[in-house]
Amino acid sequence: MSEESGSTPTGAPMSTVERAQVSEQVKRFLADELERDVAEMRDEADLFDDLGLDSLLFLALFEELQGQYEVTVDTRKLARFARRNPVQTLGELIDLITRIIRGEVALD
Amino acid sequence: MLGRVVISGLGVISPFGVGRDAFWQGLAEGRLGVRPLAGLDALPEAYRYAGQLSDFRPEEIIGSKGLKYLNVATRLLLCAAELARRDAGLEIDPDLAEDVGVVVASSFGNLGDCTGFYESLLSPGERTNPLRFPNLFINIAGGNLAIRFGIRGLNTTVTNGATSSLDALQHGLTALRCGRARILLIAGLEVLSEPLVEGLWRAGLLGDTTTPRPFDRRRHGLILAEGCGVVVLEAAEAARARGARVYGEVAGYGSAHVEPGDAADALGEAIADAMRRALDAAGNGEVDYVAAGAASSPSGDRGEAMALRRLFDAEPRRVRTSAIKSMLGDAGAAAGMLQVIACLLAAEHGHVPPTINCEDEDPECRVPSHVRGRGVAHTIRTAVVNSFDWDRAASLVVRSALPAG
Repeated sequence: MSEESGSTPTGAPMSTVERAQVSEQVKRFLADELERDVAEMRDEADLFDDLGLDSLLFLALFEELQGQYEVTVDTRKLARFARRNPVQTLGELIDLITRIIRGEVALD
Repeated sequence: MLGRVVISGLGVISPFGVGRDAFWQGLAEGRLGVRPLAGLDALPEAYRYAGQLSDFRPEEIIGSKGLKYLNVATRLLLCAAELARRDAGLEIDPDLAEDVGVVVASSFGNLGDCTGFYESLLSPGERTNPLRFPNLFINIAGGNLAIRFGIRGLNTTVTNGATSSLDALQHGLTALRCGRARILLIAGLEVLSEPLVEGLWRAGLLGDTTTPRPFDRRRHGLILAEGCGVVVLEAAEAARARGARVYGEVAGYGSAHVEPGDAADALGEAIADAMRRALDAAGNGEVDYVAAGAASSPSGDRGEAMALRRLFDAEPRRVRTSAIKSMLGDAGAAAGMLQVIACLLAAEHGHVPPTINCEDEDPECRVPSHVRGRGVAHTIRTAVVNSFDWDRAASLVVRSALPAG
């Protein structure tokens, strides 16, 4: 488990990852877990009021993405970061995840 | 002051199958619901027998949506509760939601989930899915029941050994009488798992036998079972106002601590005390049927038989006794609820289910008017349910809906 940095690319550089690709993966994952149609996963959907996400589902989502992108995210640092920089809509969440994978966000 | 408290609906999923009809048919016919468990290769074959569920398909009762991360215990509770809800004709609309509550009795319902989660944490390279984390809590089933049914009232899980189901009913009685709820779903819930069976085996607590034999000279100890029984509990007037059918009244509860000492003697004293207290609480009335808690334990059965003789030998005119664990095995915290439901169905059918496999009754386990082998026709107005382990005994008096005779 990485204690030194918040986000550590461990494989190929992820700096060029496309938002569209992340968006598709996040929406497919959430639609699957929430047992809803992927068409309901709109960028402007409210994560809590519209989609009913909870903290465990966020954790599961990051677990999934870490597997796919070979990025290690310290979940405690991520939780602290999320408290200081809350996201409200699915679009905002996808933006944030894209930036984390690209290594553009310092979680500390 | 609240008047009588009644059971106005029930749902049961047992080794005999899904629903009250399958449950009653198995009991009335005196069938053995015990068979060998799959897996458990570490155990000698003689210890692998248990009362297991079969043909349990939750999606047929509650649909397939939202089941993905729910453990077996939760699926089982949701289904048995849905059967009880339908049976009671109960609609939980938002106006009622705050006044409906849940009490679940369970000891080992999620043990397999806990060990499975822990194993995945220890396995290198395996990712532990955080969505399975809530299954580590013993109240996961009761919590999910409230979420799924839109229930917003009290929610309690009782983990108190063999007496859990009867204690849950007593907790429900108290809550209704204190005005903390108007309608309660009370459940007994237990699920078999490899760590449970293997753990009890390693502790020397399982019987090396294919057949539970309560009160028989050849009894060999515990055979486990799983299952879920749910009853709907409410004031008699409320049930009448809803136009619900009434199965019977929960008339009295009593419990007693088992004093240290000679196991069977001390247990016998405690079971007798618990029965007397329950009968006192219920007001007097002749007992027609005792659903014994005997589970094929060498000294436990002897203790219960002593207690039964002490209370009923002087007036054996009406009472009949049998132990349904002879057919099902011992479903732990759920066993008491299965016995309560058996009493209600026995009263409805006018038929006492038998103790099976007790062909050679132990003279030290002589029980007043023991119904053995085959069931008998009998009018049941007042029934007593017994549950006990080495620390505590509890009894519950159930009055059937039959008019007083």
